[in-house]
Amino acid sequence: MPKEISERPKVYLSKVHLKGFKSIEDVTIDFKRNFNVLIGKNGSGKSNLIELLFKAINFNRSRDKISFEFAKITLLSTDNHFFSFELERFLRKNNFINNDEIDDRIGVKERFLIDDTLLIDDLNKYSVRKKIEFNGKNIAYSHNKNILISKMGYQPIYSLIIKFNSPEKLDFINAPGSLKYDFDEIVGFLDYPESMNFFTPIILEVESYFEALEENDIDFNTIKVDDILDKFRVQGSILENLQLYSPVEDVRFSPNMNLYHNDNNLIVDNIRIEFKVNNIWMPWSQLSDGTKRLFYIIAETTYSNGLVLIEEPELGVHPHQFNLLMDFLKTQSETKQIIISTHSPKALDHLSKDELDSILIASYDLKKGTQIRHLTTTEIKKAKKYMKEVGFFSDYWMLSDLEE
Amino acid sequence: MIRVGLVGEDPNDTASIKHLLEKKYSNKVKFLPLARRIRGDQLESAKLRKSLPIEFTENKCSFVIYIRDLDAFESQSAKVQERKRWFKSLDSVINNKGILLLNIWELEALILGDIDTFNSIYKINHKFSSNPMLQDKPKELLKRITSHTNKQYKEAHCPELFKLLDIDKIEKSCLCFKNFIADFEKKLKKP
Repeated sequence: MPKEISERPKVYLSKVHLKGFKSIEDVTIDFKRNFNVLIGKNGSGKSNLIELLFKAINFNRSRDKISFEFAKITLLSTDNHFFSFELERFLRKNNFINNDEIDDRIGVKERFLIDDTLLIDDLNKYSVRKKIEFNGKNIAYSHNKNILISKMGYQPIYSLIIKFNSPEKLDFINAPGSLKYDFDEIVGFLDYPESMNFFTPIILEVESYFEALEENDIDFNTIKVDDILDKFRVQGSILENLQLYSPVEDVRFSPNMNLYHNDNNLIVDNIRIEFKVNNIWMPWSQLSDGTKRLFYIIAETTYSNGLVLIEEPELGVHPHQFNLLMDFLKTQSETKQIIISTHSPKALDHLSKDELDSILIASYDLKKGTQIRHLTTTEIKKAKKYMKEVGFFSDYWMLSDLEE
Repeated sequence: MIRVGLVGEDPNDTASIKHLLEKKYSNKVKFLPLARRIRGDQLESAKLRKSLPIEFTENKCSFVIYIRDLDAFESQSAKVQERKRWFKSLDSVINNKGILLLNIWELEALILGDIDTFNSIYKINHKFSSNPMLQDKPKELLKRITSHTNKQYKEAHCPELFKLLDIDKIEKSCLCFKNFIADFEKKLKKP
């Protein structure tokens, strides 16, 4: 197994079978390895699907209550193994003694298959430890998909969801953040901020710096803000993508952070980032809604190395800028799997004739709930005619009967 | 079943005529809207000229009905000629396989051809005994006569309204529709 995680083979979402969540009653969907575009009328269940995918892929029985009836998530590795995780909600019998609440009686049955061979069946107690054999090695089964995938020698699939609105609480961005390094703790920082994911390696970098200072018995009283400011740096790949695909020319941590220390801990306060737009540095509050959304999508997608789920990336974005954003997402999808939902015809015009099978159409059926399908062979043939003889795929979507 | 395409200047108009014709021809004709979401001036666009042959072929249509409002009386020949030129020009892209339904003044004139049904839906008692082909701006008239009722007439009501209209009554009272039906039946016999 390669030491560097990035050198390991990858897995991506190949197929899902989902039941019992909001408008989704029973759907099975195949995904493309790189870019997937979900279209459908309002109320067809696109957002429910995105939300359920995120919940099912990230489900952790030690942390989450299961909010869906069933999910089978099948991941395909770049070395052609299928890993299937099944989660099924069930209700334990009421023992009438403890008079349990319904919530307390909800359990999760878990199954795990490799290449369609069932290895873990009906596992419903968190404490149970089971071993599975893979590639001649015995591996302790883990309920955490990413830990298991990692133990089996693959890159974990950390998924990211970007909804219509950016989260209300974004430490370091829309509110000043604070980091406290405790000398007495084994793990330095006690409270990680509630913010975008791309801050994680920055915080780790700062933490390592403080750990090194502590190990080398450096007097914290001698440390100045200027010494640590250098550690607070937004990743170069994010800055490059922001410059290429958004109006944000640069991002920096404000030099106005404060440093406090006493015998037990060291606090860095008033941490926030600033944005350079039109050659002027400004705080988050001064950015336009469209620029905020572009920053959110570009920074987080660049940072992500797993599955990226994005709801309607076109919202609030100028059409020319959206064109660039789609270029960005298509480029990013060369190395990570991206699923977007969209109402924008222009989003579909970024697909070539050979990529039309990456379109998913959502519709709502009164009896069956949300239905998801790919384009039929006839529709692909007609779409290609439109692309050749009329103009774009969007002409087919707008002028013809694609969603009728 | 004969497959007949529909091209109209507004999705409501197309759906309305589809529903009206289905009352009489649904046993032998399948009507297929071809230029979805096209409206107004877009009927003159290069995009429609390019997409229509694809839709015509892919939907395996025998011919096409083009639905347009004249926005004038039949006596205003310059307007009539302008619409006919448009029809011939667009129809040429599918080898002249179409017929034109030219609504005199506008689609709503057909509603006046069965005012009783309209009265019963909007719960009014409007008397209209004159020739609908001589009524200017019939849409405005329908809006006016329902302006004080619980339900005011809107263009968006047309598709559902046309499901309830009596096609025979309309044929009798609206000459433009009568002539169209004659053309249509001829075309059905010899597409």
